[in-house]
Amino acid sequence: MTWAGGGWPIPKGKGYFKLSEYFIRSNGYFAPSGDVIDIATAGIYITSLYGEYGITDRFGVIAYVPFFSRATLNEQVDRNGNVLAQGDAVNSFGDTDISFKYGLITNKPIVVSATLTFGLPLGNDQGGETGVLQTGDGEFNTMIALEASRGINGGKGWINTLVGYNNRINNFSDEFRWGLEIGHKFGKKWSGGIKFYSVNSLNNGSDFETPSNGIFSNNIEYLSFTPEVNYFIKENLGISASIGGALSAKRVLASPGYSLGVFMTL
Amino acid sequence: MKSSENVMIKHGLLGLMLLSISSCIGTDVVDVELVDERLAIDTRLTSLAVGESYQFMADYFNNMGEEEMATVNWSSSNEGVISISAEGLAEAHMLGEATITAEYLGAEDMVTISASDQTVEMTARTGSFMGANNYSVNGDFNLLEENGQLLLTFESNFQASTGPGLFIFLSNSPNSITGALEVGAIQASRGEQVYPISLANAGLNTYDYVLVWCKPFGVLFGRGRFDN
Repeated sequence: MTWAGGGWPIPKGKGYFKLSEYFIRSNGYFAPSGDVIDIATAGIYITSLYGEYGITDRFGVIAYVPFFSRATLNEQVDRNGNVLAQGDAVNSFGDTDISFKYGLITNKPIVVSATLTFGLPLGNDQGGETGVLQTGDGEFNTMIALEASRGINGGKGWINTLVGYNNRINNFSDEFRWGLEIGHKFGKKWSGGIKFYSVNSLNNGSDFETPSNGIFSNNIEYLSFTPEVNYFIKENLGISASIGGALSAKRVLASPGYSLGVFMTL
Repeated sequence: MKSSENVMIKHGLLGLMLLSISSCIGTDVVDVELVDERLAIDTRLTSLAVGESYQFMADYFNNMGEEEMATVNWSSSNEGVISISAEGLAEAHMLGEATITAEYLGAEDMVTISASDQTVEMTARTGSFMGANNYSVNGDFNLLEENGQLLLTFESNFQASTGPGLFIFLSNSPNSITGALEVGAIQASRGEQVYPISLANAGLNTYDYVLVWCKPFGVLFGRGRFDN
């Protein structure tokens, strides 16, 4: 999710960088109906770098680089130890986002920026010996997003909002996305917030034609809720942790995802 | 930065990396879904010529869906029209109609047969798919006994949601592959396709359902029941 700065474009020469580990492991899956069904336990582990850097006071570049992604699938055995299905795993580079953010309204109580994101299919969409594990969806996508933000409580808190349109190719459905984040600083060392993020399929693709072999690809939908806490070791260095789960969803794993990271600012 | 903080961050980063690299493949123990015990008459006649005989066979499947040897009890609803021996040998004596019943441990199967001027044996079964778990699977299929083998054919109107590791199974459960026969990986997500099946593995009437099953994740995509 590339909206760490919200509607505020990062100033010229300034930057925000974060090394994160995200992981989710689940034996539940939100079926296309929205009901949770049992599946073989699947795991996704992503080690990523996120960076945001200001080229000018209004224009910045953002990169999300999952340089090590691992997907696992448990083997299935019956009570007698007979193997019903083999386990599997794949390690690879993951799908990468490159974004360009421009400040449309700055120096106002409510600031607005626009972000153009290119989703590069650098991951593996048919990984492992089974060919069913994914560290990417195999399609190039382009997303345009508008973010509006406002400081609250004398700048100690913030509200970020986002709306976006994700254009996908190869018969994948396009997506409408929205997000809401409310955060606040607590003393000099702590800050925290809660995020809501929603992905909604426009269902204008084709389930019968997508080239991808995965169940994590087309017509994904979810509304997630993610509390996050940050601890500042010093002014420009800190650690963050979050737990995110879907309040409702289709075609995603049905367990919370955990994220731990170290961030620094320029 | 204090040296202790430096060490903490370095160890933290190392821990994050190791978490990814070392996360291993685990094992899920799956409880096998029990199915109803089932007796299936292998071959279904629609009519038997008066004066001719026919050897019936039946397969018994326990509640694990596994085939077991069974001593089947055979009976006819009208011995005067078609009689049947304890070994399943039927003989037509006069024009009319009779229902042949096979029974074993409470499980039974039956077929109604005309005694007429010719013997007609059903050689094909048909059905239609419907999706499960909100996946789309539709179209028609048939199972044909031909040249000493079974041919499971999906008609040209077949189409299924793309999915990971989809396999075709013949099963006696609408929801699980307990005791089912794995026919093979799906050949295409749409269009006509033919799956040969050895008669050593299944008879025309051994199974009641065709399942489209995501084998790696253990998820049912669609099912179709034979209409006849």
